[in-house]
Amino acid sequence: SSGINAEWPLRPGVDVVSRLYNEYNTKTPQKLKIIDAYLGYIMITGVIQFVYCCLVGTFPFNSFLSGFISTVASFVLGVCLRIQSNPQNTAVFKDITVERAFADFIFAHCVLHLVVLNFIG
Amino acid sequence: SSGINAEWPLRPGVPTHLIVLDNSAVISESQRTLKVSLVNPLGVTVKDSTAKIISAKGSGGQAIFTAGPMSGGDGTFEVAASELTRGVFTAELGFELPSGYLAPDNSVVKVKCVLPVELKDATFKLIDVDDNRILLNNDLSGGAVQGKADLSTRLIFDFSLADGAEEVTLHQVFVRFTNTKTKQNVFFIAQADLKKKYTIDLNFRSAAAKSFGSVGGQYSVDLIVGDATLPQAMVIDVATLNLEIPDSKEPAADLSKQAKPEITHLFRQPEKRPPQAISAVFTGLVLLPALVLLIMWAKLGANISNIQISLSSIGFHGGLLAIIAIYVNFFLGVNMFTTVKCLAGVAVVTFLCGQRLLSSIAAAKKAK
Repeated sequence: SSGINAEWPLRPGVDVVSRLYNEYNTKTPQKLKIIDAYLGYIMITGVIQFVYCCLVGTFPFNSFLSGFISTVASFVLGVCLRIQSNPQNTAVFKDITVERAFADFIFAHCVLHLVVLNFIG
Repeated sequence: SSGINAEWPLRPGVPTHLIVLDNSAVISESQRTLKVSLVNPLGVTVKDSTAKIISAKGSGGQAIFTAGPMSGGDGTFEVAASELTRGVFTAELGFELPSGYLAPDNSVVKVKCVLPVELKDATFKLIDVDDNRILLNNDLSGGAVQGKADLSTRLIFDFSLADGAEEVTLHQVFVRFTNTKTKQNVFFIAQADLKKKYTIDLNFRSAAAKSFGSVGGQYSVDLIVGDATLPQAMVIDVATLNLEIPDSKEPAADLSKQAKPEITHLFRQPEKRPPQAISAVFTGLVLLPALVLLIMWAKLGANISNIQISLSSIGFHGGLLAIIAIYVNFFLGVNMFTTVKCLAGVAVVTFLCGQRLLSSIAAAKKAK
């Protein structure tokens, strides 16, 4: 990586971003990148639902809420999975293997989608 | 009465019931005897029984039946009133029953004695207040009278109600003025003083506006007497009064008996929905990131080739697909009970397979 570009004038904002991107690409394990892609997908879906609600109004409100909260909760569960599968965090999560984290993730999603489908009306 | 039969095997007594015959609990000049009959639950009179009056007192302490045996037998008894006194009495009856019968539960009978009353010492006076002059003074012995009144007139109507020689006060004593043209009624309650003399004292200067609504015209005046101890209510035609009021008003129309305006129910308007085109576009937009996700996963090199084809693997992935299918079914309209029932079975299978699969993966990782 280039580090700080020493040319004049200094461009600190762009350099921080490009450095962050390079470090992310090289240092992050593949499994976490897969989860990150999933998280990005969830977030974009949530944003699109929110924009739709802003455009056309909140009727029926329960449907909007259930869809939006589904994305929020899925995002949260994905973040939990990511934290628990990060090899850098094994000291914190001593008893929870990656497989156990994944099983929790699946189970929580089953319950979440049952409730969401009930509420969506 | 014998009550419980003490012979073996124990037999409790037959309950009996007292019935008042011929509506004779209302004693009047035409119906002087109280007739009762003692019956068993099937309605058959109890033979070999006798009855007596224990007491029959009214609220004032007077008695309508003398205490003593009632005439009749074989379940049907009667007793004649010793003297007719107006009022409501509580008659307590006693019985001698053959063995095996219980005393009736309703051996206390409420007896009412009704007697007519007469109008006595009536005076109908119309006085001109300004001139202090008596316009009309009639004792109503010749029937209803004719009179004229205006705003300076005062009406004094005295009377008493007599039951034989004695004056009585009754429950409802009203004087009713009915407008002959509009048929509207004005009621005044007659008050009795300590000597049981009723009076209606009406000053038309104030009453015309307050009670009559300033509606003039011809009114018929009636005396209405009602009470529980009268055989029927009395309506006595007292007078016909011509009430002259300057600036007489038309009576207010009575709208209470006319049909109210019809209410047409407005059902709740459904809320505005966005046009289907916009909804379709956004549905597509929401599903689009899923495609993007698949592409990104492929680019990142997520490997599907590493899936082992074992029983637990098939069970786990199949179970997850089955759960998704159940949820889609639920969304399409199956109710929650059926969904949870199906889910329970599939969830157990999925859980067991998943546990085995993930444990084997973990073990394989550890061994590496």
